[in-house]
Amino acid sequence: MAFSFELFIEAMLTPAMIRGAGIALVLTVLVFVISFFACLPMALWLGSKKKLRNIAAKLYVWVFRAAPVILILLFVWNGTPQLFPALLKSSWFTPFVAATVSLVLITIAYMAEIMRSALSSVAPGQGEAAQALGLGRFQTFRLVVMPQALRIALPPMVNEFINVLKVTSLAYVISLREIMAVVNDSIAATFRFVEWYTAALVYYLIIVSLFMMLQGIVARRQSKADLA
Amino acid sequence: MTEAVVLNNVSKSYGSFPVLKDINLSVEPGEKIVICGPSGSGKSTLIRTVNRLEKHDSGSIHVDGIELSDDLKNIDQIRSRVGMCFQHFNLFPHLTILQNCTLAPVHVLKASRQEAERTAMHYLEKVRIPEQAQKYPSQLSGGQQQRVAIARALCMKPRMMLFDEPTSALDPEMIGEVLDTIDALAKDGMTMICVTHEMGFASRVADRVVFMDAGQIVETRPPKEFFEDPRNERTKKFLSQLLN
Ligand SMILES: Nc1ncnc2c1ncn2[C@@H]1O[C@H](COP(=O)(O)OP(=O)(O)O)[C@@H](O)[C@H]1O
Ligand SMILES: [Mg+2]
Repeated sequence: MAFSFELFIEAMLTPAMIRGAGIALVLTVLVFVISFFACLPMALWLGSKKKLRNIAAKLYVWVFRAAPVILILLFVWNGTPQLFPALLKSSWFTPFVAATVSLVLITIAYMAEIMRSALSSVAPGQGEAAQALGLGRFQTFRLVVMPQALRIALPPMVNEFINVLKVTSLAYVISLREIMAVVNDSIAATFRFVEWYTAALVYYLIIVSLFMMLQGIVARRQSKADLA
Repeated sequence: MTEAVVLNNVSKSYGSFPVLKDINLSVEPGEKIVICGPSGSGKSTLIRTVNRLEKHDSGSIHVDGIELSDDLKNIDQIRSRVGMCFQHFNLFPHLTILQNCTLAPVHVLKASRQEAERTAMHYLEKVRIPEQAQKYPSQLSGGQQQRVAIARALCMKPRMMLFDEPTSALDPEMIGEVLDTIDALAKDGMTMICVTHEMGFASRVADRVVFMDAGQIVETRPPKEFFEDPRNERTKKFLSQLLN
């Protein structure tokens, strides 16, 4: 069976496939945005001199970096209803919600490391100058330290975004109808591996390219300040 | 009249290492103090306690009659009255020169952007670099950056300025332009505490020179006496090293 271009196009345009790509994209963006805000306190704790906070944050990062994604997905989807039976009857606890929670838990661990290292590379004199000008601690963080840390964190953050997109493909194990779940089902029905895998690959490429373009725009806006 | 700064038996240690030992110093409004002394003698730590970048362990510090304690309101109030310039300028690299100057007025004094920009341009003209307003710090020379740092501090309309070795990170040809700027500020009547080893500047501007060694104030004298007739052995040694 040679590669059928027609079948490939058909696979690309299948409503389930388009929907699957939409789910992967929305899930990735959602996980990325929630993790970004949630990783900030974790990053500060990772860099904290206070023992208890520091150990708690390190423990969290250690656990969620070591744990396989599939394990966390299954743990959240199958495990939490065992602990909280009310979840079984609730209508909101869908595979999408479970996948979001699982991936946020994991992504926080990676992003916190990225942000901690970015924050620590901002010169201490920056915060001092801001405080000497009378800015409060939160203002200093938001207006002076954070913008500089973000610039440093941008490339690894884009990597992290791509990683999140890739691991959404594992959410088929909790029957989330994202790209790979649709592809697996379609192949089971048609045995046309190559066309469907290619279609999936193209969707991932499109989503990643979109975000590389976005990164390019942000980086260009920043580069003006990095002259000389 | 309220003293601009009063330090009363101020001490501070890093762990078991004493950096400041029983410091007593009072500064009148309008007075210019130059602090000098060997590296590691505690000069930076001393002026940084005045705006609470460093916390003192014991003794008391009053700025404009307000006591520096853990009371955050007092700290905020003092910081908005005391401007500071650092050895390495510490301009915000992600902001333009103009934005560097308007950040604190807008977010601390709640000035309107328009008003803050007008003030910023006024002070940038004063330090003679209004034409650089739209550039970023990395596009300026060291001397220009330090002048921007001075303008940035002045935009908060401080009653007093602290300088921590403002010229020691500069190439020799740029030292003059920065000292001239500080000179002009002194002539306007600004109260100043300046850590520097620039003897010519100290003679010209200072009302009193404070010499520090090993966390202590060794002597405090008018510049002419200090340079021409140092009494203390440690001062003599320091001055002779500085000249060689
Ligand atoms: N954060 C710190 N932790 C420990 N020791 C410090 C710290 N800051 C300064 N010191 C020490 O305190 C002493 C005085 O420092 P400093 O005030 O910077 O001196 P100076 O400005 O006169 O060179 C030095 O011996 C320095 O090593
Ligand atoms: Mg110093």
